[in-house]
Amino acid sequence: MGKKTTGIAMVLILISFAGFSQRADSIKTHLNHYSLAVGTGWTHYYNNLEYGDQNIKQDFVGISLKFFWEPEYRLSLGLETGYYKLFKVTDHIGTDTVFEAHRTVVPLMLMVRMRLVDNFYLSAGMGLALINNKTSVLSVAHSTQTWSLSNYEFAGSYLYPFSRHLQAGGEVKLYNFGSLNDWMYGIHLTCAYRF
Amino acid sequence: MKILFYILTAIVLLLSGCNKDTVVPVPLEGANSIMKETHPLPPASKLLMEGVYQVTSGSSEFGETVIVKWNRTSLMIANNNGKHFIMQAGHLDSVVFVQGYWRDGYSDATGLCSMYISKAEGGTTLVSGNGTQKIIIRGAYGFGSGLPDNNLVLEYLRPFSSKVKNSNFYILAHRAGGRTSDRLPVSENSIEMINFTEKLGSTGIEVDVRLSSDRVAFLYHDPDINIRLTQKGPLAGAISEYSWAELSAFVRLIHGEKIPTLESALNFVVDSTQLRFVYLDMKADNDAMAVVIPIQKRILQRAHDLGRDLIVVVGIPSTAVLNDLMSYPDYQNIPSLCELTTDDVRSANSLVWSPRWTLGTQNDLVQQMHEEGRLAITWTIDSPSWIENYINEGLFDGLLTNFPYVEAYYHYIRE
Repeated sequence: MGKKTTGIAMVLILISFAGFSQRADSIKTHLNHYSLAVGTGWTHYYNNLEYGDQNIKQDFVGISLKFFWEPEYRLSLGLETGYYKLFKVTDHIGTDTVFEAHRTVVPLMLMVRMRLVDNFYLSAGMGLALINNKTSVLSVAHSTQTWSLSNYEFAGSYLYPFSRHLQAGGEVKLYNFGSLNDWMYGIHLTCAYRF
Repeated sequence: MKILFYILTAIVLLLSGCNKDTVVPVPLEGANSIMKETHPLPPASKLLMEGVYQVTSGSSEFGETVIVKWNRTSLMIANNNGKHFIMQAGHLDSVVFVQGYWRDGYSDATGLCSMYISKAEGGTTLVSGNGTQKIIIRGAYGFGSGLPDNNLVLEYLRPFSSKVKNSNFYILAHRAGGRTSDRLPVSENSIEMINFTEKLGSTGIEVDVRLSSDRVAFLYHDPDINIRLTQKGPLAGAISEYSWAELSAFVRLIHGEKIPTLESALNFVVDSTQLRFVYLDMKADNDAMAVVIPIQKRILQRAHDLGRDLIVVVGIPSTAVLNDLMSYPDYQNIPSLCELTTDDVRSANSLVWSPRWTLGTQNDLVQQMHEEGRLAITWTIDSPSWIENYINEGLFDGLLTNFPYVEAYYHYIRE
């Protein structure tokens, strides 16, 4: 009986020690941050069309939007989306029927970002992309959408902290959209709000 | 540094995974080929040359026996596991020269082949078109574009049996003669493929029929424009949403061919081939019969006028298409191929019943179809052992396959 009581007492003491050690610190600290970033800038479509690319425009302005979870480590995890025009082709069917084709893409990427040194980051991601192909013949337009399920992105960025919350900088990025093997790269100005 | 190495390795792997390798190169014989100096063999000589041969040297690569069969444009030699030769033959005096290339249909293996039949080993018989000399074809084969330096000797065993000669068996090739994914030198569902497929031993074809947004019937398999079947161009997405003018102007098949209209493809079959059977596989589901049946009627009339023995059937792969057909006036007189039940075959009065091969040989049902004056053709059967089994054990009038040379071997070698 004595042994049993002693044993129960020891267990309760150990549990209470463990419980005290889990008590909240009196000083509040942020171990996690989040950031929301928007970017815009030049994009260039790498023209690997094998057919119908005589009059192709490859340079456009794109926009991107990113959300990152930034724990106190080198790696961050986030989502990125955007809107990019890949190309515009202008041609003729026969001699005088004007034909135009535009391809735009909205990617949704799961990103992993790593801080290499202060303010410099490398990121890589993969995910989905909705590809929209719009054509018009004799001013009659129609669009077709297709999903690309295998896409990836690499990016390098520099973000300078102007304040505790605000960062701004630039980003170089490369995309591949797998279903049609479309390649695009670009340089964006980026502004991030960290909270 | 280690992380940078991993990142670079991942990039290299991703980029190298994007290589587009769509064709097994056809070895070229070179400018000094002797074939340019030879004279064509007369039809009687070609018939004498056809038959079953024993491989007395080179059997480690090509097996114990092969069949030798002429087609419209070339000589085909085929064995039982997908290795086949596409050869040209001609004679100089009494020596017959046979040159071309071989290909393994189930892999990328290919190579040149150069052979001859000497005067004393059948050349005299062949060139004169009569005689009793035993034919021995001697020569060598190579690998890739290397010179042929491995011995190959084929000795004539016997002619094709009377059962084979008298049969009306159809060797039907998929997708107008062959799939793009089998890395053939021409694209599937193209006029160029229809022109090529007889070299593989086909005597009939299946083609995939779709409609453009302005209701032009054309040949294409997939529902979307993709870089598996087409050269990369400015169009993408659902192919049936584009007009024929757009498709014609801005889509090229993987080897650069234009997508053919159904009518141009069928006209080519009638005018330029010896194919005896065309199966129109209806991929379109938007009331396509109203477009396709008039084309079928025109082509059949034209073939009849030219004395061509040609069957063109519209496929019925689903009850939706069956209903579409049965809403058409006089549907019971439209030659069709029904993939559904034998009751559906009777409802549509289909000329051909075409069950999936995995349902078995179903000899009792095939026999019923024969008794009703119909044909039975199964699809799509690719394994050499199953092709052998269905040809020897089944009663089908033909098999649809992606490997017509294998089917040709097992058909022509029948005793």
